[in-house]
Amino acid sequence: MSIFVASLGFGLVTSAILALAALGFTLQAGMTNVVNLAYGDMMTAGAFAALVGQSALRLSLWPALVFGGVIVALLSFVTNRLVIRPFVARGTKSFQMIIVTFALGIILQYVIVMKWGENFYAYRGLSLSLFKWGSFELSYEQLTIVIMSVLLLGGFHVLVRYSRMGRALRAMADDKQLARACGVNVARLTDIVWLISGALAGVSGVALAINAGSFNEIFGANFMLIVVAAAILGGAGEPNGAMVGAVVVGFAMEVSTVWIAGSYSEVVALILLIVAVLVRPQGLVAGRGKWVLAQ
Amino acid sequence: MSHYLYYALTLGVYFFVYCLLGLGYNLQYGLAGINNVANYSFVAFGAYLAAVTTLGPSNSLVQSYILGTSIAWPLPLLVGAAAGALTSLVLGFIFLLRLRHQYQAIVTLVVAQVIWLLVGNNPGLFNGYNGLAGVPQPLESVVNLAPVPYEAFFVGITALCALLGFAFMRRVVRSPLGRVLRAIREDESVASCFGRNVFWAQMSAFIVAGTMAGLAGGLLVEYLGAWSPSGWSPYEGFVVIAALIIGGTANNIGAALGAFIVPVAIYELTGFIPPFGPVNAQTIDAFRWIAIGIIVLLFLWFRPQGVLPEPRRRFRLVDRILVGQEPIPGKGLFLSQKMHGSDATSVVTDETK
Repeated sequence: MSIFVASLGFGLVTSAILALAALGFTLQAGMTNVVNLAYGDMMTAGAFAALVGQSALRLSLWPALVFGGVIVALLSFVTNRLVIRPFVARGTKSFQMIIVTFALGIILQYVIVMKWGENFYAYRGLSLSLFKWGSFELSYEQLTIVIMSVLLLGGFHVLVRYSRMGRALRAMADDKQLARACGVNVARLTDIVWLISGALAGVSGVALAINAGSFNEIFGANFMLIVVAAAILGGAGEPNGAMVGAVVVGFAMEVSTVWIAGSYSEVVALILLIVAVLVRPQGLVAGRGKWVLAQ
Repeated sequence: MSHYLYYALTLGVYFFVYCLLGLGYNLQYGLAGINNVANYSFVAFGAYLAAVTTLGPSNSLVQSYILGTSIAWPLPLLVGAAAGALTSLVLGFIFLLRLRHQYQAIVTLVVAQVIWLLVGNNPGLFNGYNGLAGVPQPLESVVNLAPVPYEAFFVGITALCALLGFAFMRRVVRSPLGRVLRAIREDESVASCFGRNVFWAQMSAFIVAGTMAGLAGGLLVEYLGAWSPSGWSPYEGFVVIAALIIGGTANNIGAALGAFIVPVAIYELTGFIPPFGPVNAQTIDAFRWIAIGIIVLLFLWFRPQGVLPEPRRRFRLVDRILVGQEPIPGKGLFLSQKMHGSDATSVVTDETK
């Protein structure tokens, strides 16, 4: 029983990180119709940017996390302007777009290898003390990650639901041309989407690195398919769905370790994705009742 | 001197194996329009099955695996090819029935990752993450040659396989099946309106591609002598995709050219960069991947059809029936020009501004 409760705790942390990452991924997929296979490597870039923040700028742990988010937001913005947007504007087919992002991910990953090599790194300032509540125990970093994730997701929800920009975003996700006809500045909003999703990739990358304890050049890429699983399970392009999908996948991965070996938890997440795509491709939260990605 | 010769022969083996892979990938992506990102799992199954049917019964003290037998030489290759075909048949039901576009691409990637994790985490299957080693080279004791002539002999084997693959693909491209596949690639609903079974046409292309990948895997493992999960990943598959994009999609000679440009020229020649200052083996490897990534991006931007684009096809009969005149030699007609595969060149969507 206590193992089960402990796995619930880990599930909570994994879900929190996954929700941030999946939200960013699903924003890109839904708003710009780009499946970004470089997303995992952007998470890695965030982790390494935070490392630079710690070593060069002498930042402590949480400011370094913010620093990582900011750097990857800029990276994502520049990537969109320089590469993604020109290709999309030209009408590159969806599969070739996937190859474009795949190539971008490989370039990013090996630029990191050139600078840092294929080694493991860890952050300074990780406390080892535990927050305990019965057999439910988490480190204070993990607890902070969960709270931060809830705040960020809540903030995003408020932004999309109640602000003028959020309304424009929803309009754009529904019908880009109609939104443009109604005076929504689609190009500017697309920039904002890439900034936000980049920031989410960076922050979730640093959070993942903090949770794992150490990270290397490939840890984000290894995590990416799980992020994709959460995003698609919830309904590709659906921000609320990404959060639901993240909770389902995160808890399924961690709770499954009670019965099967931990090395299979990724398999659990991926099989959830395959079943979801085959049985309910519109996702758990199917807002608009159509395949956002299928074009 | 013999060092250089040996090295050149090594490159020959890689070239012909990647030719085979590129031709198979060309069939499924270039012709049939299947968005498979993870072509490498078929290579892996071919390699594993060819290895375990060569190695003999499993000795759990050294390495453990299933189906350990030792059969006469060309048979393991055929077993590898059959393994690729069977894997394709099974996975085809997942990939080809309902999934299209980005979903198809994502699911191929995910299924490949599941296979990778299952193979790696089950030491009883193919010795887990440690992989199989000590696979003897084919007919070594029979032909009894020194290293360099044996290398030449092996190049001959791979060249023979690649040539067979090439001849076969040439037939497929010109066959009715090839026409149906191109039609499906251009517009699936039109093809099915004309009574073509889209699923089975794509499935047959997929199985043939899987067979060729399995054969290539068998050749690779017999050449390398070892095979482990670290040797097959989405990144290895990306080399094949990059080769086809650069060489020329839906063009068999382009596939062969791509097999020369990417895995041989870019991948191997960057190995000649001398180590200096901060440059070491790791940075050269990183530089190699960055170069491949950038070249793929440049090609997709400046020449998405590749060095050798798909040959333009003209159908005299169609011209005569629908337009009522013979095509003008050298100029063709509007209609027959519209028939050739238009690939990501001129479609402008509403994303422009």
